[in-house]
Amino acid sequence: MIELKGIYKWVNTGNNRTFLLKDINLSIKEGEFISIMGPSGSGKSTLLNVIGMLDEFNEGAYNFLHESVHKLKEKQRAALYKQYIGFVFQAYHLIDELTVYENIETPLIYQDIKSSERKAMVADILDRFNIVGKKDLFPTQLSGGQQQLVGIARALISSPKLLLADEPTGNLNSKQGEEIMNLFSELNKDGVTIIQVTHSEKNAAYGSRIINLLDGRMEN
Amino acid sequence: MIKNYFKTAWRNLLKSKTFSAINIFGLAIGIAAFLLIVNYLRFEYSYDDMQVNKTRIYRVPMKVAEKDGKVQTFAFTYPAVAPAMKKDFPEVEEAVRFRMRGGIVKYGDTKVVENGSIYFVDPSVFRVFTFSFLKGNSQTAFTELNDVVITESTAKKYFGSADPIGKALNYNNEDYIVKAVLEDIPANAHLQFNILLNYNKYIQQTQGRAETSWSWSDFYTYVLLKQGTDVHALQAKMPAFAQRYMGDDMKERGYQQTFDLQPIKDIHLRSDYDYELAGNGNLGYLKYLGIAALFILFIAWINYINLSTARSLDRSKEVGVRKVIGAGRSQLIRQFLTESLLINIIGILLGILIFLLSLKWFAGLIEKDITYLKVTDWKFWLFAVAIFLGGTFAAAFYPAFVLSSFQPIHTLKSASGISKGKNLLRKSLVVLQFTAAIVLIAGAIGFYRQLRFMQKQDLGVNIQQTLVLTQTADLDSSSIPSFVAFVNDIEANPAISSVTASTSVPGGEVGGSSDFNVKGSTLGKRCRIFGIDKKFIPAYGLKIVAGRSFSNDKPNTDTAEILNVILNETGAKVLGFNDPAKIVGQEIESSDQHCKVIGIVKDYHQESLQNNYDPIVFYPEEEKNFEFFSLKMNTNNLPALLDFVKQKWAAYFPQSPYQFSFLDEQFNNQYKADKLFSTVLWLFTVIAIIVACLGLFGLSLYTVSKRMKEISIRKVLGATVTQIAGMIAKDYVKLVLIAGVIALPLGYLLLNNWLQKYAFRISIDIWFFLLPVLMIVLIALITVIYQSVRAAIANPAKSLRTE
Repeated sequence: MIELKGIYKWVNTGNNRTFLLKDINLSIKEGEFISIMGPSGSGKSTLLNVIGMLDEFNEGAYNFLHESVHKLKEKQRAALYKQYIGFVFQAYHLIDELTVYENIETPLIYQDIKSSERKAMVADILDRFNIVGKKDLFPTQLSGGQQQLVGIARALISSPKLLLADEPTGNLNSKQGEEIMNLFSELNKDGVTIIQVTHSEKNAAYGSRIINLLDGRMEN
Repeated sequence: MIKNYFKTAWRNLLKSKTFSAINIFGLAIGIAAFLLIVNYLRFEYSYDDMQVNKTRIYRVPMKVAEKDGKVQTFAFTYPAVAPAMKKDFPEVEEAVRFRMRGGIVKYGDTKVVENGSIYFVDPSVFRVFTFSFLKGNSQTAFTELNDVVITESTAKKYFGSADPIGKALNYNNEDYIVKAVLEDIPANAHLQFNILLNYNKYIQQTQGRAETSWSWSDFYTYVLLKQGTDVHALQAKMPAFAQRYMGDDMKERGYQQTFDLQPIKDIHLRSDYDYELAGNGNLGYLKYLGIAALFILFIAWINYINLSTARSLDRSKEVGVRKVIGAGRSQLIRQFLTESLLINIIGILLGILIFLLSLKWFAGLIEKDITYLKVTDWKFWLFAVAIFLGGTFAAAFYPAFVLSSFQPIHTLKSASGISKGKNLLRKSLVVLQFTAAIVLIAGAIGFYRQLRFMQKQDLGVNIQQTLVLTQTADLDSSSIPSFVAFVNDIEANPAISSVTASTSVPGGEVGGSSDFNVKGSTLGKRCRIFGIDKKFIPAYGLKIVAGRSFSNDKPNTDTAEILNVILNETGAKVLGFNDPAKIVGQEIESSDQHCKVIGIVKDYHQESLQNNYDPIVFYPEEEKNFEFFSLKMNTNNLPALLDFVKQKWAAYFPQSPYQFSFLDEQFNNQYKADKLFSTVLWLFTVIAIIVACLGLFGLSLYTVSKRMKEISIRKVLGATVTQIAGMIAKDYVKLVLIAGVIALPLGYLLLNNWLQKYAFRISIDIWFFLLPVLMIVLIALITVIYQSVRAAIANPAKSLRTE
């Protein structure tokens, strides 16, 4: 599904070149559950953003579902990630002005899906995540765990093949975190490929494979 | 989708109430001010629109250039021009002359002084101009010499509710029969009248002079051109026309006569001929108001752009999230445009409401009848809505563009979505706003100073404590005894220091004029002629700089005798004597009178300081021809004195209604239009400042809130409240100073251009600009310091904790 070959990413500060990613070679198959680990500043989030096509890289090749991402134009890349990738953030990043229901519905609106269909899909996922009772609340009225649940529901509403999660439990207490990780396991069993960035060994253990990064380089 | 956009827009509007309120109110005030001004301009530009033939009606004004190049302009012309043009030019379908008259009109016991509201007009008037007949019709209106046509309110004035048709109005001892009643003349017609008389009657009264004269220039003349006439071609034929009829006279007297063709639509705003009909508009004022209107609207929209882009920081995270979950850029642009549209529409509606509510008050302020300011024309609204929507999109597009351009990778990581470049743009816009505000204030100050200057300047003539009585009846020699007795009786009152009679009084153009030349020279110069008695010069405090004043000099009863005259300094100069003393003793002559100069008075301001000194020839006049009595008062009991004068007047001049005025008020009336404009200008300047300050308030509120963390850190490091306030205020003061530098040349050009119109004017001072800059700095400081002090005294732990 994902093929990274010799990926380099750097920034120039004055005369120095600082490498964020160095020679990343990685292949991920559909159905895998990957955990990316490493100390702060090791390039975990950068790698995740590159895979999610939110960030660019300077050198190397990236194939996603047989598309050569590095050859695509920005618009095509955006179309690609919109179709196949869902994002979950440490800080949830819900839209404060929208209710739970509307937050989840928004991606469908951007895909021009009909209102009746949207209703059915959102109702379905609210039901599945057990948050029907919260649908008219605003994000600020929810606990962190609940917010993250909504965040994941929103990421899944358009049935992505790949779920990217940047420290999804980073702002949660251990019980909430456990619930989220169990949810991830279930999703993975249903066939969703998951890549998560995490600090926690325990969370990483939920995955099928661990990738360790240090100073932008993969260690193994 | 649209529904969703509006829902989010509405929630955003409610969420940030302060910003929404600043935006909406700023826009509403700006739009209301803009509408008030534009609606007023619409009214001023609508003059004579009611004329069906407005594209074909031209007035024939004229210019007379003397040998030395000085050009005199006249809005009217000679009575012989109209028939001659109709005869010579097949392009001229009709020609109409208007001869303004005034005097007492009587019906039964009703006596009314009709001042300049009576016109003798050619019967062709109804074929050229459009009037609505309430009674009678255009065919029969002027069939008889003594026919008269009056307006509806004039009919009411004389006849009440009775049918006026067939009734007789008495004017100058002659009965005129009412043949038709017209609807009142709309306020936006440049020709205003109450009573129209048959011109043929006037020809008869003047023994034909009013038909044939090529020298008597009191006739406003209009021509109706045939469809499809090339005006420029016709204008090109006018020099030959002048040559044909006046060539000999021009050659003999050494002047150049030209006739113009002036479109009727140009008369109200674009006419700069002398002897113009009263009530003409001032295009310069209107243009400046138009600029002010645009400035205000512009300032309001800049507020909108600034506040929206400043707030983009808050919205950047949302943009990132929306992009990540699938929003395309165009979808985001549409969303932000919807938000702008919502705020702007609310602002526009509120603005229109304010406009409609304040219209009556504004009409009162500019002293116009509200019925003419009411907007009934859908085109006006179409125009206004088009401008507002255009402006809304222009103002909305940039923030939408900026906001939708954020990259999710940057905005989701931290809140530093705003780069230096956008700050620069925002700062430039703020500078532009301040520049506009400073130019407006400088203009208002300059204008106010000019007005003050004109009112405070020593006129060279004493107009204080002067009661002016106007003689409206035509007197003959038999009334000389009552004249003399009246003056004696009045002067006997100790509250009156002197009484003087004259043909004009200060406070307006001297009534008549005539061509004069020094004896032996053919160089004719047009001078004003001013008939006075011997007490006039001392009573008005005029200074004799050479020769002597009048004592018992003989009035102009016999044209064969030499008439003693006094010139003003300008008069002497115009006749070629730079040293006025040298003309004393010289003889000068007009077409029918030989005169000898016996003295020179120092130039004084006969008219307002908008006008230059005119050459004036003072001559001793007969009692019966004096139109004005000037009573120099010295009293604490004005009501008693007025009563006394009124009784004497009624006793000696029962045929003449009692009319009085105070000369200083009368004189200052000349500045009425200027004063009005000054008031309106200040009003809109203050509005502009308020709108600009609203924006400044919002922007600094925002900046301070965004720098809260920095402020806290500085405070923890030991900065005092003053230092912090100073640090934040510095940025804004810098912007105001830059704006001041830009505004200086702009405002100077504008003001200078404008002051050129005044013959006597102030010089533009640097403080016209320093003051507004200081003012804006002060306002900016108060706004910014208030907020930064609030920020600076807040507990730093609070704002640092949130990171």
